[in-house]
Amino acid sequence: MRRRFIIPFVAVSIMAATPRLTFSQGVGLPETFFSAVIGSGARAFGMGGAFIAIADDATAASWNPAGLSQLEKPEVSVVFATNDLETTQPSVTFTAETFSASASEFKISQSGSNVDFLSFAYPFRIRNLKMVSQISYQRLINLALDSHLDQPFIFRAETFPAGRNQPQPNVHIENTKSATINSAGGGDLIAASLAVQVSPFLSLGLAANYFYRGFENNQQVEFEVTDTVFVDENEDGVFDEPSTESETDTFRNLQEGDLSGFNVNFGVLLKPTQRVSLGFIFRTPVTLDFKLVDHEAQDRTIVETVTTDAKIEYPYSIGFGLAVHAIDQLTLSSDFTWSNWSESKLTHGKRVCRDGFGELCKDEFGERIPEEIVDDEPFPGNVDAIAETPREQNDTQQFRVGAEYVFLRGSWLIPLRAGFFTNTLYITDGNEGSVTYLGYTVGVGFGIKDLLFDAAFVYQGGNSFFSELSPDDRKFSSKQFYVSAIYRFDL
Amino acid sequence: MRLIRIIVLVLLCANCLVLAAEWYVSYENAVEAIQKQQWQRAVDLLNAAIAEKSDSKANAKTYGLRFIDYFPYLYRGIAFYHLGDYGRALEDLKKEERFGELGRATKDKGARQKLQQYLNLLDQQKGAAEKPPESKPPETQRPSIEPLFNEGVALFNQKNFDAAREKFNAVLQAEPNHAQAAIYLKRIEDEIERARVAQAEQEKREQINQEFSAGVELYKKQDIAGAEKRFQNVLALESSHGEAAKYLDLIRRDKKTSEIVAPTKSEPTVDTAFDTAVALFESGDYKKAKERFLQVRASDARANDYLKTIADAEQKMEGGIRAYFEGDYDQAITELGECAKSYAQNAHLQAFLACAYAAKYFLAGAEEEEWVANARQHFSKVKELNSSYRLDDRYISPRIIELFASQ
Repeated sequence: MRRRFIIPFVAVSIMAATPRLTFSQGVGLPETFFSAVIGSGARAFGMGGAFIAIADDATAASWNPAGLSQLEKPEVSVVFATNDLETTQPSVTFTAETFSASASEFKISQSGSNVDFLSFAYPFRIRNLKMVSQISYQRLINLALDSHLDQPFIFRAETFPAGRNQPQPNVHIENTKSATINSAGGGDLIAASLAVQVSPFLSLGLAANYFYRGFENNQQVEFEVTDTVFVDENEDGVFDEPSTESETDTFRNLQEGDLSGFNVNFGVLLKPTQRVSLGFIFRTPVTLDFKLVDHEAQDRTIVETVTTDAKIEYPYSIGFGLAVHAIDQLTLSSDFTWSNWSESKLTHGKRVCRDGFGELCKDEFGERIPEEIVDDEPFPGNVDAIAETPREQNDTQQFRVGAEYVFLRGSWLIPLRAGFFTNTLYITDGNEGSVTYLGYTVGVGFGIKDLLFDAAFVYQGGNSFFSELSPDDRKFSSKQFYVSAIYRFDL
Repeated sequence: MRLIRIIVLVLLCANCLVLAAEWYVSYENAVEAIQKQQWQRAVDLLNAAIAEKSDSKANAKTYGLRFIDYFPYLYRGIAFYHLGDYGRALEDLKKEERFGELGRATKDKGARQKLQQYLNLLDQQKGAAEKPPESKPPETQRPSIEPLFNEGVALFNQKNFDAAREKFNAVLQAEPNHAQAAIYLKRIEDEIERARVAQAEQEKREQINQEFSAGVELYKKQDIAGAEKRFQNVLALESSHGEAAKYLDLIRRDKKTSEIVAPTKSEPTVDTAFDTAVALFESGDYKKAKERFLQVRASDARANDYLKTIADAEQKMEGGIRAYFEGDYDQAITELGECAKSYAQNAHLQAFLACAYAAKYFLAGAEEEEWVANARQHFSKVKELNSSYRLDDRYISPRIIELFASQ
């Protein structure tokens, strides 16, 4: 009996290790979501995102608003991004004294594209004081992704019956699970920025950010499960006739979220010499109004709606940057950003579950579940998939380095860029270890007169934080591609 | 909140701040000024650019991915050429040539050609006193006017004002908006007026000297009535003539006592006149001191030394003031500072020395406290010497005038 108890437990555990397809447990959110979101622009990302001490184009406000003060003429910019994210698990194998079990590889892929940044910057002077203002839009958290999960799941358990040296298969399960999630929206912000050149050596900047918009997750999960079970009931080494069960199920889930809030970024840019610049950025914390309506449906009928109305304590962050213009055509830069994600939480709110008739949902004992107070809950997504309990939240750090070399040919120029970064997420893995992705970037541009086109490819990857059973097994990787255009008005 | 307050404070204090532009802003504005033939403005802007970035360079990075060809000495040389300062023009053009960057230009591809054109012009300009430039003007000038204008400048520099005026009038007739020609015409009028005033002053001085000498001779000959009339004539021409007043006082005292006293004891001797001149020199009244020294130089050779000192100082002061108006503040400080060693009591000199320091201070972003301290010190001296002294707001920056007023 003991064996029979253990085997289904392992089976359930391995199956549970497959991310459950709900927003609250992370799938549907890109893994890069779980870190401090930084600026935008293909030029900056081509340099590994090390741009705090440079910030000298129309994307400046997203990195360091003080950098805007370097602009001499009005500029407009547009940045377009495509995302291609993938989480894979080669296989899961579990071996005990008397049996072993394995699950085959599965893969979650997410892809989407969006306008990442738009801006207009305008320099002006009040008497002799140079100022630059900017209005910009930024997709801070992109959730506009189409996600697909394909999991041919085959589970085999073999036991070592007493007196036998060869293992005997006693459980064999096959199921196929596929899911599609169509998501739209994300976290956007509108920023009004102002930079002041206090002296040729010191500039100050301020960006007032209004967070707005929300997201929509429309997911459909189709299960096709065929279980073939071999059981040696009598433990005599002779298996009974296998039983086979097949089941198809469709599960639908629609989530609608809204968020809004306001914060401020302060930036400082120092130029102690013409060859060296230092940048500093401080982003104040923001309390976002957050509302999530989660509809669960069965066969197109809403069976349950969970409404969460609360505040998100979005963390503050600080960043430092150093850039060295070794020669006029070569720039080297590095950044470090730290964000107080450990203090980020969902708070000051309530959550209520209602069934399809508008009545409070019932628990497993048939009792109505009252309205729940939401206070000090972990940030959305930070819930262990197996234990369904919050994981430890860490502060995040990002270290970024990059280089840019510009080839000049007459009236046109070609910049080449490369960068490297580390990205530590706030969410921990199943063993409460920190999750750090390594990233590599390359970029290229083309400029003629006052128009500059840039493109950047950003790859990052590492062990996925979904790795509950074996953190090293499940891999995450993302491939992002940015293109941007910046035009300078020669007024 | 505190950070927000600080930023608001900075914005409110915007009017208090004076900033130097980035080198590339000054440079691009200077090139624009050259195209508009605003030569003096171009020189000022290029001085500011060079102060920040002294090396000439093709494809110099500005900000973002903007690169410019930065040839400040070429354009300052061109500006100096049009201002008639051929020496500095040649110096700058040669310096630009030594940098060797013009051949690598990717945007300002005509730069090398411009350098050659202006070097050729300067070659032809040698001996400009005899022959004004007739060469083909560079691209930035209108060919039909600029040779005429250059001839006018050369004539002006030779102080042949009538001929220069004809040239400039001809330029204005062809091009009524030619600002430089108009400026030169105004300068010609100023020069002529200055010469006229100097001539009148000289004639008056000669008349005074004649009357005074005659009065002294008559006094020595005991022709008291004749002498009294002569001295009165002197005072009519120059009421502050102390020596004539002394003689008249002697005559009045003599009349009062009804004694005719031989003037052997009280007669102002050459030594007395020399000492008076020295006293005037030391008090800073160089104008009167010069007059006195001129009177006594025939009988006392020591006066010549003082006259030479005054002439040297005047020359340096003139050079310093010219440097100031040309935007070469370092040169202005050097020349005026040198002059101030022997000419310290001159309010005009002190004023321009202060202005040069103030200009450097503001151009450098109001950060060098030593310069503004020097400016304040010299402005204080100006007020001490002449409390009613005023800076001419037509030529001096309002910010400098403000600094002067704040003393």
